[in-house]
Amino acid sequence: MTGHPYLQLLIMTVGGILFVAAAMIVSWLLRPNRPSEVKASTYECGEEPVGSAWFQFPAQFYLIALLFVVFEVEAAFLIPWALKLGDFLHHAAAEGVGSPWFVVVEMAIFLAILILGWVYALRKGALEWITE
Amino acid sequence: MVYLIPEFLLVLVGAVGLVIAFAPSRPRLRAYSLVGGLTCFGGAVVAGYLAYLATTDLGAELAATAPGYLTTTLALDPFSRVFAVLSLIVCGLTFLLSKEYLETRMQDHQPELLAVIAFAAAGMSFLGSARELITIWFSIELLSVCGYVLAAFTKDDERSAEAALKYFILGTASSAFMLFGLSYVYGMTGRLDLVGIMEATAGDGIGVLLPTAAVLMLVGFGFKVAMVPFHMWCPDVYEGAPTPVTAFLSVGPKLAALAALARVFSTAFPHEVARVAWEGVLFWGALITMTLGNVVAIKQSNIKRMLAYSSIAHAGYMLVAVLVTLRSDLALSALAIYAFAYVFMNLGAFAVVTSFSNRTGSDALHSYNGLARRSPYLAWAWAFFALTLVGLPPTAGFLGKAYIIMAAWDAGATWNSPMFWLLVVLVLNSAISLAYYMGVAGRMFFKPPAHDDPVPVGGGVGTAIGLCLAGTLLMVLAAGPIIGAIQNGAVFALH
Amino acid sequence: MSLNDIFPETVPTGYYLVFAALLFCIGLFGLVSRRNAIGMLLSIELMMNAVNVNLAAFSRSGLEVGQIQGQLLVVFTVTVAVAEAAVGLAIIVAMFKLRKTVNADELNLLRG
Repeated sequence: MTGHPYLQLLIMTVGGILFVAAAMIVSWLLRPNRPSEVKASTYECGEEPVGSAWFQFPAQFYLIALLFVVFEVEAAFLIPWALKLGDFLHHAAAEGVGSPWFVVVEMAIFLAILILGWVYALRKGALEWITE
Repeated sequence: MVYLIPEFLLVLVGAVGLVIAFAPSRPRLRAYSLVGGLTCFGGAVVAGYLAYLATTDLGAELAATAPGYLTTTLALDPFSRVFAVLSLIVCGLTFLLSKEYLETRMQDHQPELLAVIAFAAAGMSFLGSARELITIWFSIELLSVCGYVLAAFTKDDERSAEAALKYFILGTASSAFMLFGLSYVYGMTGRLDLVGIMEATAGDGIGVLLPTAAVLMLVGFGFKVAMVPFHMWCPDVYEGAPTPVTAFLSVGPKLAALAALARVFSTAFPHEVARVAWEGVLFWGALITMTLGNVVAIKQSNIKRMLAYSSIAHAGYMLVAVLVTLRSDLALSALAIYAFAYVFMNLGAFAVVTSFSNRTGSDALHSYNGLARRSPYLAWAWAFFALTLVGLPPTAGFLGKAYIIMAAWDAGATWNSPMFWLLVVLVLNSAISLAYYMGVAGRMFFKPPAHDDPVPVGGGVGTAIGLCLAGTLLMVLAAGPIIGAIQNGAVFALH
Repeated sequence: MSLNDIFPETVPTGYYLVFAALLFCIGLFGLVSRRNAIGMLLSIELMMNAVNVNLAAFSRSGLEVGQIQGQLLVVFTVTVAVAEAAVGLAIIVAMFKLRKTVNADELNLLRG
């Protein structure tokens, strides 16, 4: 198919909307309409909510969230490193430039600092869940 | 790698602090603050030797053989090593002057406070030598994030939390501005190293976006330096933060940001359009900063707020040295000399305030009435630091101001030129500052005290005051070598 | 004006820059108009992300082909933004515990 590359996207989008709309209209035309109490109740998708969702969460959630967010983002450094590590080791071995262990040691230092922080959080009891 | 000993030492001291915090105890805290402080002072000597080494042929050889990943990110020139000396001294002095505060005023998390100060000092040292925008920005963030944590450290104190929140919101917003400017600089030049940016902008056709980007970056730096109009956070944070932290914040981020400011703008933007823009902003910034700082300081009734405004004024003086970096070879030495003097006199003044508030729990100016009778050591020390901060002739403060004036004169401050009037304002401001510094000294010596209870001085903070006194006195002798070091080496090593 | 003028085959850098500038301004507006500390933090994150869009766009279509520095800086920016958010949230939680409010208008203990 030729033409503008976004044309296919447009056709897919319009087609998708039309299909959903058509399916809903057809089922609305065919089905009988007899609403009842039982049909409107929650089923399969969870429990009846108890109380309001607007209450104060324990501050411990924040603590866990903070730790999670920090450690999660550090993975952004690990992935490019892991992808390029093989190339670097081959390159260093083939051309004899630099020590192949250089990158490994650098990542080890990085992880050591992270682990120091993690051990600190652990020792301070930041990950222990206190229940009343 | 030898050149990075100061930074390694600071990170090591911080890491040891975290390990000690696993199981804190009073003797361990005591040992840590003592050994950590001594390590910093020892490191300062090593860093001083490195600064000297950087001016010699041997140093040039060492720098030439340094690995590429190091020299592309960090400048190993004398200027950067002089700021490494400064960060080690600041860290060591803060360790000493916090000791008593930690033992008497804080219930827990004492080793962490010192560790975070050491990390912040490492950021300060990196910022003084960074020559590439990623490193510069990362060092600034290391320094600032540590600063937010430090300001919030007494977490049971509402004022500390409020100060930290203000510092955090304004600080991150200014970082975003700086980063936005930085992204445009990168887009226009395709480079992130300062020399590369300079080369890429050498020709015509860069357009109006480059000065805009430079000024956006200046907003970020201006915030860290507390340049008017980005100074609003400064008095609040200084008042709310724990006093030893205030002492650190008043010198650390400010001086490192000034050093980076001088390096970034004179290396990356020396060409006409951008240069006119940032020099213009800095000229008015320096003028208004020093005047506003001094005038508002007179009206303060809290000594920490007063010193906050006075530190804004000092930033204004130092901005004059940054302003003339491209026009005068003396400017960088003047900045370094003033920075050294400022570290000793300002930390000294804050050490007096810390010592006093440790015992009395008050920062109000009127509580200093008659201090000369209650604690002669503190009163005389304050009088000395006040004279130095004003910049009266035989002191280190005078030396700093004299060098800044010489640099500005060298940059072409002829009669009736704008630079000339900037210098006139600088001298007038020094006269204004006499009023509030000596006003406090006057309270100490001539007003009757509310009661005659003596104010004992703790060992750590007393030593810190003594070291600052010795530092301000020795500055007069040490000025020669510092200037020599910076003048002999290339202004900024461009290799 | 043909369809290709409105939707070019590859999105030109200018589009990204306009988008980033708008995002930055939305963040700035939020920062100025919001009074809730969490809202201000979110606005600052928007400003940071505008920078990331800028850097990624410049990195893709910069002056030299195959520039990696911009993308590298994005990774660092994201990390630092997260560290800042962590510290900021901790400060806000501490503030809330003490004052039972995170409203910037009620931060008035420190006045000169």
